[in-house]
Amino acid sequence: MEINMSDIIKIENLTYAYVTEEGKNAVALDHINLSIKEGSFVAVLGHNGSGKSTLAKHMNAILLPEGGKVYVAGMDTSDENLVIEIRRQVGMVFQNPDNQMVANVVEEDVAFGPENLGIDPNEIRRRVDDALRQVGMYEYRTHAPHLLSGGQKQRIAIAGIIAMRPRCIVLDEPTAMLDPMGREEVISTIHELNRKNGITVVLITHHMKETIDADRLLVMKDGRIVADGAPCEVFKNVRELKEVGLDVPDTTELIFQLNEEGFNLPLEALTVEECASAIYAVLS
Amino acid sequence: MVPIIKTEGLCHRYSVGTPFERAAIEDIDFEAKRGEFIGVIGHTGSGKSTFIQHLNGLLKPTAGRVYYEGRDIWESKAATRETRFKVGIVFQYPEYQLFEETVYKDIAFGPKNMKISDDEIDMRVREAAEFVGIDSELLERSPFDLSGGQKRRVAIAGVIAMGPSVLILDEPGAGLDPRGRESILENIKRYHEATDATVIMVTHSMEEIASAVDRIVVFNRGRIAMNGTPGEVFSRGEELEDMGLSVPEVTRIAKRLRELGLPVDTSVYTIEQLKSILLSLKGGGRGA
Repeated sequence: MEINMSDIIKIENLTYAYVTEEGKNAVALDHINLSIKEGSFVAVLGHNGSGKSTLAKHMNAILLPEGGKVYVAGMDTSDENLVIEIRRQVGMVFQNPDNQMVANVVEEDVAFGPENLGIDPNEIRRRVDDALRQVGMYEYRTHAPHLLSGGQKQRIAIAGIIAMRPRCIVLDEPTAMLDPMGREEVISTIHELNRKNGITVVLITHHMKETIDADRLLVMKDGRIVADGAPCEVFKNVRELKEVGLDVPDTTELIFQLNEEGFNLPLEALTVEECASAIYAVLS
Repeated sequence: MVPIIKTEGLCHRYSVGTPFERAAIEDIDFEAKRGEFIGVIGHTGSGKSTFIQHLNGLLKPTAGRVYYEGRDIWESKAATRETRFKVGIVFQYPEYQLFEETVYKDIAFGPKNMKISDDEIDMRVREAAEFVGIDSELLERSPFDLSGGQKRRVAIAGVIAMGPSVLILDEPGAGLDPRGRESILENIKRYHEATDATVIMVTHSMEEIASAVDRIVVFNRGRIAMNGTPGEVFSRGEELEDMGLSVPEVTRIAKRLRELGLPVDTSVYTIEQLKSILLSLKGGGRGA
């Protein structure tokens, strides 16, 4: 088996099926092939039931392949002896922060992961402070998590992962419960972790806006990857995305509708600035 | 006409007498008319959830008053109890509150506590299920066999079945994919049109709120910072951004175009509105 070391995650022919209440087999993942380069920022879009969460859970051995293989930093996730090491390399953040809180004090919660890795207490102290600063929650370090808002809790969950210094973070709809500012903070935090620390980020989301700055965007439908490319390339396919049940960003939608009325605007103008400039160029 | 809900100088302090004491909301004067559809937005921690819990007496004001149809809801036990039936709240992630054996029983739980006849309950359950798009064949299933989106619909139906005059929803679309959000919002709009209920919807999604509501109330640091039509509110984009809120992308594009020198109204907030302005600009340009 040949493994390219620049791929932190390599997925080959992965299949996974759930058994429903009625005893039927529901295919969640259908022969997925995917390589994720170390240091990249990959966003995964898809509506509920598209298989994106199931895919994410294969990236740190929470789920094991029924068919095919998943390699994390070259390690086969189906090898039980490697599971602990795999989870050190790939940390996971989930949608609901309430399910991820384990301690009564914020900084203890963040320290939970590194403590379990057997790290020196001084180093833990440093990592916890550092992680809390990175998510903008340092001033809340002595607060009780249950008194914080959902968005604050989620940032603490992310800090708990950062404190373990993984090579890759997989975030499964981390912003679904946050308000716009909380979302932006989380997204800019993970971009910064990606840029400055070189941590690979896999971001599962429904929010189109959050995918715009990714290096690569995957779109999933019915357990398959139906689009894969730079966000501005993927979003050009407005009709196909709508068929998959996804919206495109409002900028793209506006340009798409204007083009149908005879404007000739570039569909890859994703940001407000790009979109406004493109429209201005046509109208001025 | 007497407003259906009204608050006067409403304040709430949490953890009074402890080091964690803090004011969640201060001095809230608010009115909702019968049949109004109101959007409530605000940054996390702005007090909006605390606020809505006062509207049906789940929280007692630490100062100020709440009136339902002109009567102080804390005037008597009976008044408080009546308010709890008349003002229904669908909390965030209401699907976690399902508990009955069947979908039917879960939706019927509220009405059963209202001392109404079984026939009436049956009618209400079926009507409520229909409003939220739950097929009658699902009624005998366990709510735990349903998908997340369906569970949420069942939870909303449980509140609708009580026939509230005021329906309050805290982030009904949170965590759903765009298709699910849109469909729940459509159900809520339909319910609002079909009944004369007042609907108060808390949301973070500016795009969502813009297309649905008559009026937007913006919370900031425990106070009402803005109160007006979507156009009025969104045209104050910079203030909203200072409060940690974003304005719809369409409004931002309009604002940028205006800065570039095009005569574009910056109070637009839907793609259709901006599109028609741009089309008329294009047409005008050609004609000139």
